[in-house]
Order: sequence, then C-alpha cells, then structure tokens
Amino acid sequence: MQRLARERQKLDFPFAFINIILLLLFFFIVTGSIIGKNETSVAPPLTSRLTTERLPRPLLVIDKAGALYLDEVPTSLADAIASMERVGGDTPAPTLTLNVIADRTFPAQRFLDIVEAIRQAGVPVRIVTLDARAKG
Amino acid sequence: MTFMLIPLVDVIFLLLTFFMLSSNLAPYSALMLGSYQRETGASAQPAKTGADEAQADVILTVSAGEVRANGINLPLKDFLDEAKRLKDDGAERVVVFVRPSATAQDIVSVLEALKRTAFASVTVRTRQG
Repeated sequence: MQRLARERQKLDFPFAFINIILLLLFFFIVTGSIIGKNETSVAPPLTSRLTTERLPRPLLVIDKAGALYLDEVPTSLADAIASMERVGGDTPAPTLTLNVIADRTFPAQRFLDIVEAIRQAGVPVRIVTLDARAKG
Repeated sequence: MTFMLIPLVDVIFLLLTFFMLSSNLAPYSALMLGSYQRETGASAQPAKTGADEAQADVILTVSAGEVRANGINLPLKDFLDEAKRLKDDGAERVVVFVRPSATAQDIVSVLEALKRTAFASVTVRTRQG
C-alpha cells in the first residue's frame, strides 16, 4: 500500500508540470491572433482610454501612401466595398462591421473620405487604434 | 510500446515558446465614427450645414496637433479636460471641422475624448483651407 502511494507521488510532478504548460499553451492559442505583414507596417493612431481587444476582422489597412489592403490582399476602395457587400448579402442592415486601420500620419480628410465612402455603401465602420501603453 | 513523456514535453515547450514570442496581449482598440459630411466650397448642402452649425453647442476645428474649441486654441493633450468642462456646462451637440493639416491621429484623439465625455451628437466635417 505504502509502495503504491510512493509510486503515485513520483508521477505527480511531471504530470502537474505538463498540465500547467498545456494551460499556458491554450491561453496563448485562445488569446492570440495572426497578424499579417502589412498590418504591422502601419503605425495606427494611439488611444489610451478605450477597451482593448484583439486585432479585429475584416480589416482594411491604409498605409502611409494610401494603398489599401483588405485582410492582407491589395485592393481598391470600390473592390473593398464590393467585398463587404458580398459578405453582407441582401440583408438590409449588414451586421458585419469593417474595421479600418490607418497610419497615424495619414491625412485626416483623406482618411475620413475613405471611411465615409464605405459607410455610404451601408457598411458600418470602426476605426482601429493602438493602445498607447502597448506602443513599446 | 511505452509512453514517451520527454519528447512530448519538448514539443509542447516549443509550441509554447512560439506563441509567447509571436503574440501581443490585445493592444488594439476600436472607435465608431459618428456622422460625417464633406464640405467642398459652395456645394454640399449649404442650408443643412448652416442649420447643423446653428444647433451645435460646441464647434471644434481640428488641425495639426491642436484643436480650436469655441474660439480657444488648445493642444490636443489638454482637450479631454476641456471636453469634460463643456459637457459639465450642458453642451450636447458637437460639430467637428477637420483642417487639411490634421492627421488621422489628431481626429482619433478628438473622437476619443468626445466618446469619453459622452456627447449626445458628434458630427464630423471637413473644411477646405
């Protein structure tokens, strides 16, 4: 009986260790999101008092030169709107929101014009920002 | 066939290291944009524009790094306190004009402060010159 108890004690350490590592692994898999090269090349506007979240999808990237990428694929404004309309289907109020991330030095007027063109097509828009504490 | 624990731990460690190095902890936020209208010279709904301006409690003009609130120029970093003061004074409707010199950061800073202070209506407009 005593021997059995000792053998069980021997097994405890590696299994507990693996459990903790697996929990950490699941945590990073669940909380992580894959970010594309173009999405990290822009420096988004900084905010400090908004709720943080993962990089949302679908994501329209506007780089410093004004080039557009919809989920990493180079696109034009018309094509991006058409893609969103296709996803939204015939529903009168599409629930899918397009998230727009622009370089913080991008001219505000051009940025607002792009955002408004998307909204005019009936697609709700959210501006993606970077939490200032995570700027590094 | 025996259960090989050490190779399993090695693989799990490699996966864990990969995810730890390649991930950030949710550094992004999102901001909804209120209504927006573009003003181009004499066109673009002059009557409605005038009506909106007349009904606005606060008129803001955003340019590079600063905001003009009811005639007073402020650096953007001080705008949150001013927005709170305007809200405490009973302001509810805000019209924001965006100058060509303003950047995406400038307009986002203003919208974030307005969101924090929970104004009832925020309209964004671009103005030439």
